[in-house]
Amino acid sequence: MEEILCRSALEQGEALRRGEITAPELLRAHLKRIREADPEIHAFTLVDEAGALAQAEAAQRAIERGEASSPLCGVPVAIKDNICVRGMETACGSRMLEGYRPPYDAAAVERLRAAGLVLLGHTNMDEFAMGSTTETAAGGPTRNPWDAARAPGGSSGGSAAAVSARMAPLALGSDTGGSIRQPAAFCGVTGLKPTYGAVSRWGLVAYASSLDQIGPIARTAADCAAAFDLLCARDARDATSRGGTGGTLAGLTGSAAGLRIGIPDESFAEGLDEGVRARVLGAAEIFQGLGAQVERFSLPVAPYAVPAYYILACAEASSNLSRYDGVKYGHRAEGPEDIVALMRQSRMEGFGPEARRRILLGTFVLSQGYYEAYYLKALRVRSRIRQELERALTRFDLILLPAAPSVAPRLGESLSDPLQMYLSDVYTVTANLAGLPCASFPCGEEEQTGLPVGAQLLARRDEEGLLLRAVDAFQRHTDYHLHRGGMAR
Amino acid sequence: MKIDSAMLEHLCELARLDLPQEERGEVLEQLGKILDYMEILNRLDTERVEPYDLAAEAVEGLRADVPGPSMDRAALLENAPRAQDGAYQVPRTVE
Repeated sequence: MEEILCRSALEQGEALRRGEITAPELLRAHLKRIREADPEIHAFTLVDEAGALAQAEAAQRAIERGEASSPLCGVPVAIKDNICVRGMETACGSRMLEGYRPPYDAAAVERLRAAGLVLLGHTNMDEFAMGSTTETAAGGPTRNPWDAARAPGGSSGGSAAAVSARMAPLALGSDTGGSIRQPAAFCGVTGLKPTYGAVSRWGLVAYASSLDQIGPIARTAADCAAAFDLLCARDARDATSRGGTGGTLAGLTGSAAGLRIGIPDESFAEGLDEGVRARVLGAAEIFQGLGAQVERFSLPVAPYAVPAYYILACAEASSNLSRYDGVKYGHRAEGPEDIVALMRQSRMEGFGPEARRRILLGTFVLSQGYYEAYYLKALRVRSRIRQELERALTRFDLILLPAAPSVAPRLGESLSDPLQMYLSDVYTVTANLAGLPCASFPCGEEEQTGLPVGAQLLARRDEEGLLLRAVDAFQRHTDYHLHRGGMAR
Repeated sequence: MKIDSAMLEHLCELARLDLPQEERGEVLEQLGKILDYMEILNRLDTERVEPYDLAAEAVEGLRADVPGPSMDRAALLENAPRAQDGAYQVPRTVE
């Protein structure tokens, strides 16, 4: 593997500006790596060589004129298959959207283009982002670069695997209940779910609109900061978009001294694998060594996050996915001669089992007679979770917890028992319910399997700066984020 | 909470979603199991808590009522499974 592929996105950007390599050369190195590694890993659903080359040439001209529009100008980026790219098939991992070519770019994609990044193509994902392993993808699963018999996590499994296997230095994912942070953890890379509203959702195929958020997956916290600074902006086309403060990259001082970090007892209790616990608590010790104050505390609402999350996410999904009717876009059944039959059959054929299950569950919790007991109750629980987290974050600057209860599961292990798969989201859904920024980053390998373990830090609203400063300080003093295994080597 | 097959048919009707007959048994069992698990929410007292307000996330509410260009009709229709004369084509709905 070429050495340049192992550098971070920011380092690749710097090499371009110094003239060490040109943007088309950097692109070709990544395309070569994709041709070598992706037949086995299947991180990409589509690679747009011609489009990427044109963008790389334009970026190169800008760099040569001294007009690089960002520190990541000319750097390749992979885009999750639920983020619209004009004219590029955006299938959302679903048969339903097979062949769908959006007539517009998502706001996040517009911003990356304006910053001179080079769009490699679309990455594989669980169907409509519904899954924790990328196995519900209509086109088949992605494999974990550390161990091809394992899942990369999900739903942004393709994005995490692409970054882990050095096929892209940076990728966009989306995170509704952990879909950036958990695959980042399973693939040994770093991922950021920004504050709800920091990044426009315009052009992100909707799953659960009150929880969805686009964010970066990269190999370092500094890369996530650089990408976040480009992505975060107010956008009138998304009424919930507020933008953010920006300047995240410039605020990385390398210091974690004086930070108060809380560790919730409930997140280290029963259900957490011993090897994962050891690594995440090891990260806590490292933060202490960097001058942070680490303290345990109790967060009694933690066990209620998963059931509340699944009620709310499925309810919103059942509403959002009602747009797929076989008429405007997407799959249309052949045969039915009345409109209702056309919708019912198109939706049965277009959606896979997990999407159907969530639509039905969401329909149930919103239906007459059950709305109060399920949906309204979950909204009340969501309020309590937000309140308790906000209270904890007056005592602490950051909360440290595992990204997942175990390392990456073997392919095929999770699909048979959906409830078990839902429970594995226990540490990630809280950040979405509370709308808070949260990053996951590698903190070493689990002893028995040698597979990467991810820790998460959770911060107050709009404090991506403080959050990434802490992760960056951790990465300046450790080299876990540089570890590679299996095909990632 | 158990969902019986009549309830499942009702949900399929509401969701405009057919389910293959051979999958129904498994779906019933899985939904029942998931809903049983969700019962634990009743252990948490939420008596004095207001439901989370989704609309509060919207920054400025509705945008100004100013007309602007819409997306190009022909470009949108390119993704329609069937279109005719600049419109979506559907089965006859009115006799």
